[in-house]
Amino acid sequence: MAKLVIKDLWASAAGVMILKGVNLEINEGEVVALMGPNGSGKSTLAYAIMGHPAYKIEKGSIEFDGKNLTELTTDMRARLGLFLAMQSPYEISGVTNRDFIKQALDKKETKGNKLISYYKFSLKLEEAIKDLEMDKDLADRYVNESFSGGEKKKNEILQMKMLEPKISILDEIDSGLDVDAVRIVSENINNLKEKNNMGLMVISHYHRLYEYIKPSRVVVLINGTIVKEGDTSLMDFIDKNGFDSIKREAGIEDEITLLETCAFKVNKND
Amino acid sequence: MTNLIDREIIGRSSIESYKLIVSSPNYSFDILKNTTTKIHLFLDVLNESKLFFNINENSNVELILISTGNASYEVEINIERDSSFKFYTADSFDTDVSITKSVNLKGINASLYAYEFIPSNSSSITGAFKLNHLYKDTKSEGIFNYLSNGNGVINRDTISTMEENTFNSDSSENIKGLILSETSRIDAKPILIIKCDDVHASHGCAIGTINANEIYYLMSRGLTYNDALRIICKSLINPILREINDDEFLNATKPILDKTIGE
Ligand SMILES: Nc1ncnc2c1ncn2[C@@H]1O[C@H](COP(=O)(O)OP(=O)(O)OP(=O)(O)O)[C@@H](O)[C@H]1O
Ligand SMILES: [Mg+2]
Repeated sequence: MAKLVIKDLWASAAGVMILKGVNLEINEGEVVALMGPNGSGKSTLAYAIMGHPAYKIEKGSIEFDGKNLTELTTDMRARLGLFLAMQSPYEISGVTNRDFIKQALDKKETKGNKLISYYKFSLKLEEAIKDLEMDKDLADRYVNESFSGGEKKKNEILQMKMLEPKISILDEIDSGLDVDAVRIVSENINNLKEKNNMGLMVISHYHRLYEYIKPSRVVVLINGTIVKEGDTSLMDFIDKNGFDSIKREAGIEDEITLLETCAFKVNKND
Repeated sequence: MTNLIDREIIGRSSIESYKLIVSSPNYSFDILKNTTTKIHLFLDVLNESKLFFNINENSNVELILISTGNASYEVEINIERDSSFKFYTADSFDTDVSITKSVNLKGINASLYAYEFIPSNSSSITGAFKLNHLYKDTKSEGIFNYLSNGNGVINRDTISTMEENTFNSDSSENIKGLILSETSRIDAKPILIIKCDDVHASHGCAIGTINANEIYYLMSRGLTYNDALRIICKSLINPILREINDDEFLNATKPILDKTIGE
């Protein structure tokens, strides 16, 4: 069974430490909800798992299927069956979605030497596009170029459906999607999960997505560390109370509170 | 024109498409009026050469020019009234050369659509692409895509000139350059010379190294670094390949690309 194991992960960007000892496990077939305030390091964790060159692993390990990912290039990680739906997908002008996805799929299949025929590929792509209620033309448009916010997000899921990963990380897949699109995208994610027993790490700020994609566990990342884990009741708690009390409980004061405290002290000394 | 060794007159017969391999230094083409034609021209000359095209009134000409010879050359094209000219060109060289392409829009409603692809990985390529508007109501659109690798140097100007009395004319130029190695260079700039008040002109220029985020995105779907690099370089010619859907152009550009970025 595929399993992603992150142990004491420290990662920095531009010389600043962002992840400070993350421990997390995601198993095939389970849904882990990753929550946390803006800037807490959720996307950084997602990128670090997928080997983004801007993020440097300072310490710790990421293992997938027993392999040490930190020694592998991004494409190798992808071919092992990891997928990241990005918060802000990049645009690649002059490269059609169709060509890109076909090449990615060919790369994945070369191991067993059974390249998917162009005909079968096209059928599969068309079906996936239909499932996602996307515009047919998007297959032959350039990757994400001039796509609307929602179209970009659907395009991430289109790629996921085509590549059929073992574990997917979905970074704010719901942002930019209208209410119907959230439902459609969620159904597609759930279907693929059922079909392949895919594991998911779902990053979102909104309850609505988690109503469709039911988490088995909820973890809260604050200031680069996982400070709390729980079941879905933790989500309800955050929804009602925000992150403040969790921060306090974990002994984390954010900068503003600290500054306010300092200002208060200064005033008091006057 | 002096020293014209070869001359082709196109439009007298009903032949619609030509495939020519030019190996003499001077070649002239006369396209008669009211002619619609497509010409594939493979330039493989050893010495400096000059090509000359005269497109007479009311004709539609599509020229696909592939040059693989290792010598400098010059092309001059005159477009007369009500004629349209589509010019697709790809060049590949192993030695230092200068290439100049000049298009003169000489009559009312003359129009040009030009696409130029020049990669280099060892040689220095200089010269210019000139879009000369000489009459009112003329249109030109140019897409100039450059790729440098190894020690390649591309140093080109694209010059769009709107002479006096070119009212209501329109010119747009777009340059895109991808620099793949630290030792290669692309110096290209769009130049506008406007001598008439009532014209439209626009230009864009984007030259830079490969975007690491684009590479990362492609790799995150399982493409190797080399695949990703290749697919991004191919994006310089893909749109045109799609547009003209021409096997000859596809077959000719593939080895040019391979030579520049490696198989
Ligand atoms: N490439 C980078 N260079 C410098 N700083 C970075 C970089 N990437 C992220 N950061 C910083 O690291 C912190 C965490 O960013 P990250 O994008 O991981 O947050 P997030 O939890 O995903 O937030 P959000 O909910 O807003 O998406 C932020 O303070 C951010 O500014
Ligand atoms: Mg984020």
